Order: sequence, then C-alpha cells, then structure tokens
Amino acid sequence: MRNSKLWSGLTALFAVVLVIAVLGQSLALTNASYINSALGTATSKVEITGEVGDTTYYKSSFGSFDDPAAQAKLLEATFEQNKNEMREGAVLLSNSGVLPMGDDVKKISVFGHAAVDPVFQGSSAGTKVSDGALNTVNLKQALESQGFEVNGALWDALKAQPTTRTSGEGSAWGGAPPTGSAAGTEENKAFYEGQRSTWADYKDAAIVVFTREGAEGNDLKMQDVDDDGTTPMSSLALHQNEKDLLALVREDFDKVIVLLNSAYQMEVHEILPYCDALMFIGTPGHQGFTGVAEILRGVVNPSGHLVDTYATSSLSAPATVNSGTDTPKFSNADAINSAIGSDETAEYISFQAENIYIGYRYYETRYADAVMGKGNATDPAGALAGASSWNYADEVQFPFGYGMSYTTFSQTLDSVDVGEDEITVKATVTNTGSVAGKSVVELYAQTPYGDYEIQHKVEKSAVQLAGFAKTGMLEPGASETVTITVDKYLLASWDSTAHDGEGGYIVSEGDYYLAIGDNAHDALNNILAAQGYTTANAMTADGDAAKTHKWTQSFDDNKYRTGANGAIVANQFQDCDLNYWIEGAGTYLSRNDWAGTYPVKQTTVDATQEMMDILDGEWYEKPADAPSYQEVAAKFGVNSGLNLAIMKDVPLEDRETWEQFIYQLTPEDLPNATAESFQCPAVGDISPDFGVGDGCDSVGGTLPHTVEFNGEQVNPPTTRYCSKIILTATWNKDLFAERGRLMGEDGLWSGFMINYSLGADLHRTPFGGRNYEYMSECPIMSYLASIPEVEAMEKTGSHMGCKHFVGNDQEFYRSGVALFFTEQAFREGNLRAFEGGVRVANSGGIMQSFERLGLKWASASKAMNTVVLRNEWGWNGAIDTDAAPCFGEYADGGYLNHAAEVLDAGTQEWCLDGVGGHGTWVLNKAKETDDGHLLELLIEAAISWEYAISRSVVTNGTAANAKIVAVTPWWQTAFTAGVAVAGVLTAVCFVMLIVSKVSKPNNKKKN
Amino acid sequence: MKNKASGFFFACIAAVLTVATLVIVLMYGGQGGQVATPAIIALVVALLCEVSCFFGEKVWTDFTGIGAAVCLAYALMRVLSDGIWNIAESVNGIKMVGLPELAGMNITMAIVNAIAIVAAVICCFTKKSK
Repeated sequence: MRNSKLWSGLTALFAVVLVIAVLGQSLALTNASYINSALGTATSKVEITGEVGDTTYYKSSFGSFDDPAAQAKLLEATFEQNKNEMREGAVLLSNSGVLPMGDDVKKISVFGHAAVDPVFQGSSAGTKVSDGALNTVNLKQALESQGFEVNGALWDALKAQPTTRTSGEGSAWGGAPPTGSAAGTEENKAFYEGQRSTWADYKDAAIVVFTREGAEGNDLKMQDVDDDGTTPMSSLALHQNEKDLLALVREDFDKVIVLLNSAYQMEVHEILPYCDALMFIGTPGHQGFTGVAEILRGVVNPSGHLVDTYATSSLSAPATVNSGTDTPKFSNADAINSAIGSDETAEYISFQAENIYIGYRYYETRYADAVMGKGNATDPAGALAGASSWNYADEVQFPFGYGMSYTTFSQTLDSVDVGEDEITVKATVTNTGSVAGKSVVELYAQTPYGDYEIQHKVEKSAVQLAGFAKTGMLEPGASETVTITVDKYLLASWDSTAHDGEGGYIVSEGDYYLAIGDNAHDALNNILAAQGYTTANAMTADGDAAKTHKWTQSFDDNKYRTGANGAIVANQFQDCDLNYWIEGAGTYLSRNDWAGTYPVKQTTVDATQEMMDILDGEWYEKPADAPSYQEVAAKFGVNSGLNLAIMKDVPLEDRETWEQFIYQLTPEDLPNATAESFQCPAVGDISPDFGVGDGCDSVGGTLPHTVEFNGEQVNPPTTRYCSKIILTATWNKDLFAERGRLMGEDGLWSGFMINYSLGADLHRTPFGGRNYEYMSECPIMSYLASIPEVEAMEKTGSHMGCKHFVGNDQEFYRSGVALFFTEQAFREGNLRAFEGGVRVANSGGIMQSFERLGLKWASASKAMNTVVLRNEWGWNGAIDTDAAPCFGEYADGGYLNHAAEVLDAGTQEWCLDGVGGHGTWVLNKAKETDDGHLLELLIEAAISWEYAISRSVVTNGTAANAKIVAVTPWWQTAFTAGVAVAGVLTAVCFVMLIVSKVSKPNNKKKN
Repeated sequence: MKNKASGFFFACIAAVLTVATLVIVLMYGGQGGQVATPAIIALVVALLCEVSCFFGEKVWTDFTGIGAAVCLAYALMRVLSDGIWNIAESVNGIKMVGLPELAGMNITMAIVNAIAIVAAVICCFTKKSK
C-alpha cells in the first residue's frame, strides 16, 4: 500500500511537471520573439568562409561597437540632448518677475505629490524611468545642482505618502494602468497643514508640481470627479486638493512657481491667480529636470513655445464631443455584435464633427470670424458654460506658439519672395533685452475663404502655421536674420468636389497673407490689421500690418493633381464620411455657420446592414485572373547566389533581382517576412533574426557594455528623452535632427533594424492618452518637425518607423472605433501630419493604428496603404500593423485577423506576431483555394521587408560569401530536455504504480 | 469521518480550491476575459476526480488523484496562457490587446489553482482512509 502511494504521488508530481513543461514550451515558442529579445538569444547566425574586408557597413559616429568608451560617449551625448530638449522646450507661460531666481533664493520648499513621483515618461513603449534608477535625475537632485537647498523633511514626507495615480478602477482585482483620473492624486489639505512647520526655514520660494497621467490605452477622463469622489469635473480642471494646496502656499510664500508635469493642457486659469510664474515642462525623461532647474536659476533662458492651445475649458473644443472617454456607441451596437460577433470590436463610433477645426484652427478661426462679423461666430453655441456669447479672450488662456523669455525680442519681416512652388521669407530678430536668449520666428499663413469655398464646402483655418526658424543665442543688442522656405503645397486645400467630383487639391483664388507673430493669435492679429481691423472690431489687441505680406493667386486645381509616378491624386476616403452611408446623419463644423454647425450633442447612428457587412471585415475574393498557386510556387527554390551583402546595393527598381533573391526561399519561408516583433525571425537563409526598437521618446532595450551601478554590473538602458511634445516645443530643427540621430545611434548599438519612434498623430483633444509622444495639435507643425528627425535617423542605419499611421487620436476604444470624417479634414489633418516624415523624409517604415477609417480597420484600407502611400506618395517603406499578436493557432475572423484583406490592402507585416501566424494563415489559404495572387502578395511583402533589412544595421557582419544558419536558443533546448525528463519519469512512476497495484494481492496472500 | 485519513482532507482542500478556481474563471469570463472551454472542462474533471476520493481509499483513487492533478495543471497553464497579455500589459502600465484590469484575476486564479495542484499531489501521496 505504501509503495502504491509513493508511486501514485510521484506519478502525479511528474505528470504535473510534464503538463506544465509541455504547455509552457508551447507558450514559450509562441512568444519566442519576446523571450529572445529579453534574453538576448539569437535564432540564427551569419557564417563567413574565407577572408572578408570591413563588414561594418553602418558605423557609429562615437567609435567602435566593441569599445565601452564609445558607448559612454554615446550615453553622454544622449543625456546632453535630453537636457537640451528641456532647456529649449520648457515653455514659460507666466512670470511676474520671480524668475529667474537669483542667488538670494536658496532655501526652497517643493510641493505636490508629482514633485516626488513625477511622470518621467508616459506609459507605453520605450525605456522606463523611475526615481533612483540608473542615470535618472529627479527634481530635487536637479535643484540642488543649481545651488538650491530643498526642504528635505517635506520632500521625505511626500515620498512616504501612499498616494498613487494607478488604481484598479473597474475591477476589485487591481492591476490596471493609470486611470486618467486626477481624483485623489494630490495630498490633501490636512497633510500639508501638518507639514507647515517644515518650511519655516525654507521659505525663499515654493515650487509646486502638478501632473496628469494618461497612457497607452488610457485617455484622460473627460468626465472625472473631484477629490470628494462625487463632484463631476474634467480631469484637466484643478481638483480640490490642488486648489487647497495653492491657497496654502500662496498664503505662506512670497514666490510661488508652478510646474506643469503634464503633456495634457490643464485648465490653468485656476492656477494663475495663485502663482507668480507658471511653466510647462511636459515629461522629462532621464535628465530633463536638469534643464528645468537651470531655467529656474537663470542659467538657461527659456525659449520654448507651445505646440498646443491652452483653452480655458478643456471641454470647449468641438473635437471633445464625440471622442476620447466620451466616444459613443453605434445606437444599434448590440445588433452589430449579434450580426458580426463581438470579436470584431465594432461597437464604437467617433464622428469627427469638428471637421478641420482642431486646436488653434478652431479658436483662432472663430475669433477671426467674430472680428469680421461673419458666420455667427459670437453665437453662444460652444461658448463657456453660462456665457451669452462666444468671446476669444474668455475661451483661450495661451494660444498656440506662445512662450515667454527672460529677455525681449523684436522681429521684422524683411522680405517675401513668392515663387512658383516655394515662398522664401527673411526675417530679422533683435534681442532688445538685457540677457542672451534664443527667439523663434513663427510664420503663419491665411488662404482665401470665399464664395467658391463656401459653396464647395472647402473649410479654411483663418491662420495656419507655414514655417518657422529658431535663432542662435543672441546676446543683448545682437541681431540675426533667418530664412524660412515654405512649400506652397501646404497652402493648398482639399476639395472633394473638384474635377467633377473626383476631388483633389485646389489653390484657392484670392488674397493670401503671410505673417510673423509671437504666436498664432498674434500673427492672426497682424493679418487682421492688414485687412483693416482694429480693437474697435473687438480684436484682443491691435495687430502690426508691417509683419504681413499679401499676394494674390488664381484658382488652380491641377497644380497638385499628380502624385508620384503619375498617379492621379483624387478622392479616396469618401466612404469615411458618415453621410455617405446615411444621408444627413452628421453635421460637420463649418465657419460659414458656427451657430448651426457647432456640435452641441453627440452623433451616433444605427449601422445599416450594408455597413455591418463591411464592419465584418471579410471581403477578400480571389481575383478572376489570379494565377494558380503552383504557377507562382514553381518559381521558388532556385539558388541565385544572392545574399544580403549583395542586395544592399541593389535598388528596389531592379525587380528581377529582388524576385530572384526571394525565389531562393520556399513558400513556407515567406510568413516569417510578415512577422514583426521585438525579435523578428530569420527569413529562410536570406536574412537573419534581428531586434526592433519601439517608443517615441526612447527606442527601449539596453546597450551592450555593462556599467557599475549600486555595486553591480548592469547594461544601461537606452536613454529616455523628453516627451515628444517638449522636443517639438523647442521649435529647433537642429534638436529635432539630433534626436533622430541619437535615437538612430541607440538603435544602431542595439542592432535594431527599425525604431517605431516618430509619433505624428494629432492632439485632437487635450485628453489624448498618448499626446506626450505625439507632436502637436497642428498637422503642419508635425509635418515640418518630422522631416529633420526622420532624415537624421535614416542616415544611421537604424530605420525610423512613423506611428500610429494614421488617425490614432484617442486611446479609449481605439481598438476598432469607427472614425468618420471629411476627406479634407483627413487629408489636411491626420495624413498631412505624417506626410513630412513618411513621404518627404522617406522613413523606412510605418506602424499603423487600431482604429477603423470609416468602416475598415486602418490596416485593411487599400485607399490608405496602397493608393495614398504607394501610388500618390511613391513611398516604398515597410508597412506594419499595430499590435496583432498571433498565438499558436490563428483565429480565423476577429477584428485583427482578416489577414487576406489586410495583405491585399497593402499592409505587409503584423506587429508582435513573431511566429508569422497571419502570414502562415494566408499561405495556407492560398494553397487551399489555389490562389496564386495571395502568394504574390506574400512575395511583395517579403521584398518590402528585405529591402528595409538590406538598408540597415542588420547587414553589418554579412559578406558576399556569408551564409545564414539557424540556431536553436538554449532555452528551447532546456524546455525540450525538461519535457523529455518529465515524460520519462512520469512513465516510469506510472508503470511502477501499476506494478505495485498488481503485486499487492500477492503480498496480502503471503501475509 | 473517523475512518478518514489525511488524503481525504487534502482531497477536500483540492476540491474546494478547484471550485474556487472555477468560480473565479467564470467571473473572469463574465468580465470579458478569454476562457478556453477545455480549461473549464479540465477543472470540472479535476473536481469530479477529487470528489471520487471522498469515498475513502478505493482501487481507482490513485488514478483519479493523478487525473485531478494533471487536469489542474492543464487548467493552470491554459488560464495563464490566455491571460498573458493581461499580465504583461498590467506590468507595463498600458492597455493594448489584453485586458490589464483583469490581470489581478489572472494572478489570483493562478495562485489558487497552484495551491490546488499542491493539495492534489499531496493527496496522491497519502491514504484517503485509515
């Protein structure tokens, strides 16, 4: 009996181990890309026979990859860039003379939970920074480095508080990302009153830090509650604990400075009465706080300018009505789920009623119309609660482009040369103050809004960014003349009715204006002054007509009619207009009638059966002229002697050679060319496995050489730079380029083929969860700022991937939300924001987004991925979905799994699908349905992927006589061994159990 | 009851924890978590195997005890596999393709399930009746 129990127990024990090992191995294999990435293990290696020359085709500008000193130089350069971004990107919003703080200000107190627990970075991809981690500089350390003595007792008390911005809201089980709520994120009045004695000796100044935190997948809440847990309010409004803190600090300190550690525009009008200076600092990354402290001390003169509008009410923008956390469902969402299944995630609809009027394009245009007495602009629709009319001065606190300095500048518009395709502007800046500083020349344009535009529903912003330049350091009295070149393409407008309804860009007929100004509002005032308006017309200030230039253009609808390779640029997104499907279902905002078109209630509809059929995502049909599978497959398996080292010099136009390169594979190798993940698999024996970087402010991962930290040898993480919004707020193209170069170097040292590092989605509302890693509310700012960064990274050998292409302007319900918009808004907004980085700067790739454009997932939009990207823009980079992981078994159907449709639309890789599950499914479908067209699409995907690889660091170490050989990572071998050992032991024990059972009666008889 | 040995009590513990796991799994599924049907079947089979041990030491109880442990191990791995994105996203503070708000349930399920496995294995080593 006893033996029986022993064998029974051992059998159970080993059987459990066996089951865990078998299923664990399966789980590990389907997630091999993440494991290999984390462990640094490879699945292939390059073998070279014979002598080769230098195979390091992409070199670091810091020295040899084998040299720890070179790595140290790289790190030092990245820290300097990180600090420079804050030095020039922090925006001084108000200053009553307390800044800079001279040497007489020494003993200071720092308030706000966010001071000790700041948002160093938004929660998404890239290196995570935390207080005390390697290379991190916190606010206290930064302040002390500038000679401030910080109230340590208060600092420690704040650190000891359990206050957090992360909670398990919505579940009693915890584990949730930041909620986007500000409720309860600040210490209460009682806490601070209890600490009052600590600042008796630290009263030279008070620095208060406020923050808001969104994240990937989490927008800031439009409908938040106050700290009492019940009173409704916007999450961007000041909450009661924050108000109490400000009141207390104001009472006790002569100097109060507030820092906004927030990528989201808070409602600052509630802060201003309590502070002497207010500064936007975004998120600092590893060492951005150093720049903050230097500005406070006056070592650095601030020169950042806003790239978003700070409205009085965070909810006054028309875009807030149908988006973010207030996104409505289709009114027949249940019927949709019943008809097509909830796995299609097709419940939500975001009707972009705001049209082109995002950010300053709304506030400034409405202001201009109010001044000119047009379009019922002063109607209370959309005005602050209780207001009897819409009044700009009440609505806006700080306009786009706003920023203060410790000195003053004068700017003159010297000359404007309007050419056929470009406009060249010269402006001179003079430092008229008493300290050195940098100035930004902001150039804005106004294009005509006349009868044609009104009749054809072509909307125009009263002012739009056209270009900018930043001066060097100007000493007092010094001047500098800057030159700005404007591509006139940016002044064209999309007209869906042009060319008898085919659509296209038009050059409007009439008067055009260019103006320089301190910000968008100032430039608009200058234009209005040139048009004869004054404060007598309710302008907020008189403008300066001398800072404007006017010229006239005649109507032209052909100038931008032809795209790359002769492609006609015409309407592609008419089915993304809700009214295309249901006539009169939605009203878009028009400056022709602000009162009648401002969205005062949410828009939703019953999706029709026809709409549901498309939401279902299944529409691929084998083309009638498709070749058979065998016809295409027969071309494979031919060794042409081509390898990566050879292909790196073969242009993409040489299709024959690229096809020969791919035909060395078998069709079964092709799915790996659709597999993008943190560790991408080898593709047959033509390209090895490699890693990719991900993150807009850090490529993630670690550098190869260890350094000592806290007595241990550790691999330093790649540097986390300031949030993209701070980088953009520098308005400094040299810093944009340096960011691209250094993040490219980070990727180069990490062996990353590509870094998904340029976020160009719009700040559609202040609540967008990932506004920190996207550039601006202005698509032209994003367009212009992208170009230097992308071009610089592309030179390093580690590609830039722009994301999230395109329209990912909200995080809540982003998976599958159906966006409806006008083609003009999409072309001049979302697409324009990416066009600089993708078309102009020629990024190596893009990562798409989760939402639907109209009724189709962005990745399944042929209009976007083939017609616009490939045909209109002539772009050849790699097109990757957003995260669409595939486990062992591909689930046929479901929002992210319509692989044939996605591939046919022009998308070629699936993100986080390291096993090539989607590609394998397509290959099997091609075989089952004898569809050679699908196989041809896989070949196209492989060429695109291999082309990107061949122009990257992955080619380092390869040579014409190199071979790529598969390698089994040690952990896979360990799993296999574990399964075998557990299996044998289980079997042996089970046999012994049977034996013990069988022998038991005999034992009894003997007894 | 006087005839019951330690194996019986471990079977009871395993059964109770299996029921608890099953309840959490169903709650998890009710909140949108991905629950594989085989995992539920495995938990039900595990429960039946454990209940069979309530009747004292029988010729089949060694085998049903092993069956319970194996089924519980299978359920554990399926639940962890299906919830891995929830846990990964929760750790990273993001929401992507998983449901990070349910990561706590995934972990709770795994812990309860793992303790049930331990109880089931110990049960196999011990007699159910004196």
